[in-house]
Amino acid sequence: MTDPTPTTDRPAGGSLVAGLMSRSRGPRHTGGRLPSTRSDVLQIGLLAVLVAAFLSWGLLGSLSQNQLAIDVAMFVALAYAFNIISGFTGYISFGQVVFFGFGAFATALLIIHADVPWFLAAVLGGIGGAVVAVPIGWVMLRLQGIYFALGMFGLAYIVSLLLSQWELTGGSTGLVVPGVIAQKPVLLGITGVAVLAFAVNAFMARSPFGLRAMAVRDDEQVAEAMGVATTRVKVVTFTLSALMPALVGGMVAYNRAFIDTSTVFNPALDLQVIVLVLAGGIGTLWGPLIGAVVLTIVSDQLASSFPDYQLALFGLLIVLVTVFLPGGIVSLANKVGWLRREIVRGTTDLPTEAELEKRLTAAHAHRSPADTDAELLVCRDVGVTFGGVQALREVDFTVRRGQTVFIIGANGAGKTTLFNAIAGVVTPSKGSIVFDGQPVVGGAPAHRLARRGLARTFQIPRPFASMTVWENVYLAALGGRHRGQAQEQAAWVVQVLGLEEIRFHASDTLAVGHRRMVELGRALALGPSLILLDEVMAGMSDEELEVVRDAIRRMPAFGVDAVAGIEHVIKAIVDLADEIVVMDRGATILTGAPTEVLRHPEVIRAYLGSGVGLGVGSADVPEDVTP
Amino acid sequence: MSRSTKVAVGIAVSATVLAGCGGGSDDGSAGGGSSDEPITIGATVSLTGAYASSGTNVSNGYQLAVDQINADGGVLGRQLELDLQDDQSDAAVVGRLYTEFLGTDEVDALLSPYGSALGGPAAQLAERYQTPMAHSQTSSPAVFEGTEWNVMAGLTPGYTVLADVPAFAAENGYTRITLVNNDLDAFSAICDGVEDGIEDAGGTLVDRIEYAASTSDFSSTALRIAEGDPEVVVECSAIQDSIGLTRAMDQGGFRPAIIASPTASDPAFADSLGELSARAIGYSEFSESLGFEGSEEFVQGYDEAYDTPVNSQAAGAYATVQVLAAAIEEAGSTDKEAVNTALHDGSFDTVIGTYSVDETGVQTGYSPILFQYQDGAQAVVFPSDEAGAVAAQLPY
Amino acid sequence: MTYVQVVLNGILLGGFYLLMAQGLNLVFGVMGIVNLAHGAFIVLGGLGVWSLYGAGVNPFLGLVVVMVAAAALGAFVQWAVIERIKGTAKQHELLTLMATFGLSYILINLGQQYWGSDYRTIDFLQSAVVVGPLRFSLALLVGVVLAAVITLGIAFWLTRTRSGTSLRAQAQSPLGAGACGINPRRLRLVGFSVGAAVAAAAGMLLVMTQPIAPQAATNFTIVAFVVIALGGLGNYKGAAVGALLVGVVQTVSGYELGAVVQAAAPYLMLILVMLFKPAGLLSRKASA
Repeated sequence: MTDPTPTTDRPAGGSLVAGLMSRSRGPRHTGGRLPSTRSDVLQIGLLAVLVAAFLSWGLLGSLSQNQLAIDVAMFVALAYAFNIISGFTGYISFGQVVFFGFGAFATALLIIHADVPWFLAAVLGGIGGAVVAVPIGWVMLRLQGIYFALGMFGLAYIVSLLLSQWELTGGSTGLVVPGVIAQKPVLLGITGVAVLAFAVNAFMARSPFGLRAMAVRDDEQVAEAMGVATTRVKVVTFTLSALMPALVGGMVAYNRAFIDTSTVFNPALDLQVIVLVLAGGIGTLWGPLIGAVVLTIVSDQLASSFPDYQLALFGLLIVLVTVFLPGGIVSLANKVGWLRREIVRGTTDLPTEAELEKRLTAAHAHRSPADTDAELLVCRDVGVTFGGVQALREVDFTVRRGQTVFIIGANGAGKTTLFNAIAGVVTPSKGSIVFDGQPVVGGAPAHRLARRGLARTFQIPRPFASMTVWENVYLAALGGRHRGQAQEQAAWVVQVLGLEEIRFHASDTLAVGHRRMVELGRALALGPSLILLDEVMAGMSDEELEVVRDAIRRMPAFGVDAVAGIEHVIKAIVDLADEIVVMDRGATILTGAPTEVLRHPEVIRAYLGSGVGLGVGSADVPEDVTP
Repeated sequence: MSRSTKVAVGIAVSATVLAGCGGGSDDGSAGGGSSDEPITIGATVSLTGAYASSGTNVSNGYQLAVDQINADGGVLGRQLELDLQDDQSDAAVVGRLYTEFLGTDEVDALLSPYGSALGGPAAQLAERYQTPMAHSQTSSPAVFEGTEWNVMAGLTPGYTVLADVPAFAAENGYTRITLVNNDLDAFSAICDGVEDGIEDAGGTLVDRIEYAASTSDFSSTALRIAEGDPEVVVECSAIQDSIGLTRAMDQGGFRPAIIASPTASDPAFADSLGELSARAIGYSEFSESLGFEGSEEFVQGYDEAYDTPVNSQAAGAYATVQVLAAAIEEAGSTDKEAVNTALHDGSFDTVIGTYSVDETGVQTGYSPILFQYQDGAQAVVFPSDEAGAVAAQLPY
Repeated sequence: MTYVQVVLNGILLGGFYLLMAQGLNLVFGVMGIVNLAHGAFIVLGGLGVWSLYGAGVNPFLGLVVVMVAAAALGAFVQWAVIERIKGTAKQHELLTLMATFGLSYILINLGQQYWGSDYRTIDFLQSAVVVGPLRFSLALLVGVVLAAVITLGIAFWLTRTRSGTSLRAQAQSPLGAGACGINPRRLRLVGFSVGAAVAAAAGMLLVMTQPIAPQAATNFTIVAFVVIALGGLGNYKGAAVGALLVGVVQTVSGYELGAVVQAAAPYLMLILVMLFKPAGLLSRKASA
């Protein structure tokens, strides 16, 4: 076992989050949780020390320090809540304010009308916010990127407007929240919420669930194909990110003793939180804390030292941070050796292949002979149109269990479109597709297909940019048919494809050949019954080709019942394929055994064109033509 | 702020900070402090943020009053010390600053921030710490409901400000009135008062139109107004809206006999509308011609110290300090209970009239006068028997 | 007849919103920059015109002056700040959001220091234009004409001139455009400057029609975003549709329905459009 080579600090492309992470030496393995190179005990201890220091500063100092501490803790909680949905899941949210305001009013009303003690009222308000977040998230998360942000913003405005019309919520004047001086308890409460928020972030950073969220962030479509139930993941993270603001809103309402819609639904709050998190380091564990604390204190200092220009100076600070520290303040730590961040890791020592195969036998079991030859995938009469172009015309395509079928054809023949239709990405305008006895409905959540046992690779490799090779494979293993043994499955795939040496490399720094290998690895890790390989051999060296061909040959032993592939590297597939299908201009023109098909004049014409010097056009082709 | 004010505020602030650091703050609730120590007053103004346009006026008013009272010998032989901070129009900052005033500095009394969004939380803090707070820029009774330590000192409730317009209109022979208000409580309240006034004056309410506070286009509202063909139009809105609405009516070709707006006293009203502001009716709590106690001194001092002209926000702020000072005098000490009782029960003369509040602290003593823009100046027109009142020039 | 008047008023108002949104559309749609300082450019442009008007300068001349000044400021901002922001497209969007947010703070603060926080407007072109039974605000009419000229001008520039087409090209594929010999940096400078200049023009119209102050800047940024989101971010024809829709809905609901509907209408529309046609009303793609 060789040590994986450390990679460069800043990968060429990659997501924002990948940009500030760097990879390094070997990790420790701790059970099912994704392990860490840094000691957990150390980090928890650090957190405890920080919290203790913070609380003593807030509780034992002057009352206005107490109040400032409440504001700081509030921003920390909000920052972590934002980080959950935006940093880890990639949906930039302007929603903190909606739930903050909701929590504030819910708590206030409970205290006023039901005499509920403030802490309980805040907790109820928080839970109420989370409950309300589920339908809101389910609807809103259909939007992408800035549209999601705009939609949430519009929602905040409307909720604020409605509540300001309502007598019960104090109209536009506001509500008095009865109570006593309670700064110390409130500080404790809000700090508790902030710690909770931190814990949820830690959970996101280290758990398989968090890995799924990060997959959604990096490439939602591919995540679906890898068996991640994206809608469920998004709604859960959205709900989690609504819980904290709602809790905090309730506590702040009690602390301020008076709330009105313009204050608690103020959109500037969202922007401030975004700035805090970006400045600290979005998508990281400690970033939001650092950003919230540093910027809140700096802002307070600016207010007292330069009251006339405090806004301008703060703005200048933000601009400078954006230009010089785009990864946030935490990215500074990457420059100091021992503080360098570690991302999600995998097992240090991989068990041997033999060992793994033993553990995975049940999963990799051959099908009983009675099932062979049954039809696994049946496409009948499939037609697909894009606008005016007919990409597929009445295509019939069948794959039987135990078969390896390859599709060949010139570019633009519709091969990938067919795969997209099979995978449910594209909806056929006519015809039917049945996989493993059940129809494939275009537009339905693709992750169900993955869990049923359909895996695919993409023509242009799309690894999850912020994850390592190991994480990519592990994620797929978590979404496939052998989820219960995901660690073993992933480890085994890595071994089989020879990826051990690069398994901790950032996937966006890989050479093309390696990327395709990772694509294949992900598909394998899903433990599918049918695997769709889209030009998986393109751009590979001869050694790599051998590895892939070997893997394809061994597929049946992996529990893969059938392989369907699109290829241009003809020589590599001739001895692998049981059947070759030729497509041209959206239709299948020929199906048959490899040797037959490859000599057929139609095929040669379609592929190579008829022309001088190619010696085609006659039925009697010389015997020694090697494919 | 003019340079001298900045210096004054700077000195006041540094002095307070030093006093605070020196740990010699007065412990008001245990009884009066020593006669050499200054009486500390905590206050915030909005110098930045959404309410920034009020900040300078209010801080000028506060500062001038404090300076003049101190020059006259102070209160109970002690100097007043004003700790003035910028609250950035932010409720969180209000919370911090007032907590500092009340919990750390332990000031003797408080002045309020601007409006109900900031005044509300500040009022609750005053309640919880049981320290009297005099509000100079809060006119919403909702803020005072249920409070014991807060009084409305610098303004009259919104309800009253234009309530006399129907009577004024009737006096001049006009009875058909349309009310336009934006949907914020503060402005609805103003129109509610006018509506009740219509009944009393025997006028007719032609229409009451509500528009959204965030609107910037008033063509539709102007159309609706014109349809009713009223003689009197009362615009209960913020200054931007008033200007927009007045312009929209003019562009729509409709000119009622009387136009009234609560923001007419703002210089920006006349500046922005130019000709259209001529003969418009507004209200004011303060007018030099009314000759309230200390008006001359106030105006003179203000003109000397600051480059902006006297305005009613500053007058309200000034009056609030007057009230507080008078209350402390009456209480005979800075004991918070005593001062609070004096504030609630007492009646004091200020530059905006005679101060007096009801049990909840809502102002009942001031009565606004109506003025009209005549030849570019504000002339008092109602009540017509007020000192300095002139005949109204109508129609508009 | 009144309904005709109401609808026409709405169209005029739409023209006004269009002018406010154009600059933002150019900068976001074509350059991918989320410019949260847009409102600040508008307001400062308007206040500049106000100052010049106070000094006796005709607002139309003032318009030219502030447009040039805004273009210069925009070029400076692009060169000094936005050019130096690095990252992939998605990162870039977020980082420019943050940087322009900081910029807006700077501009608003400086504006408040120079002009104070009072609301100001100018008394120019306040008369009405009478066409039969219909009456229009002259200032608004001028604004619509201005908006139309600018919109057409930008459309022409983007589609018919070399520099405009190059700007669109390099927004879609910087690498490809570079390979074609287009200088992206210079283009982006031009793009942002034009966006800023258009914003200042909107400011001039704004200061004629309503009182403004530096602290009101964020409201205008928000309104502009809502308008262009309705029409499709970056779609300049769509922006016209979005603006007109918002204008007409506002005047009609202000006339017929209550205050709440009038205020909520644009945002309700925004949410509905986001849910059903997120790429904007004029897009062909329905939501996923």
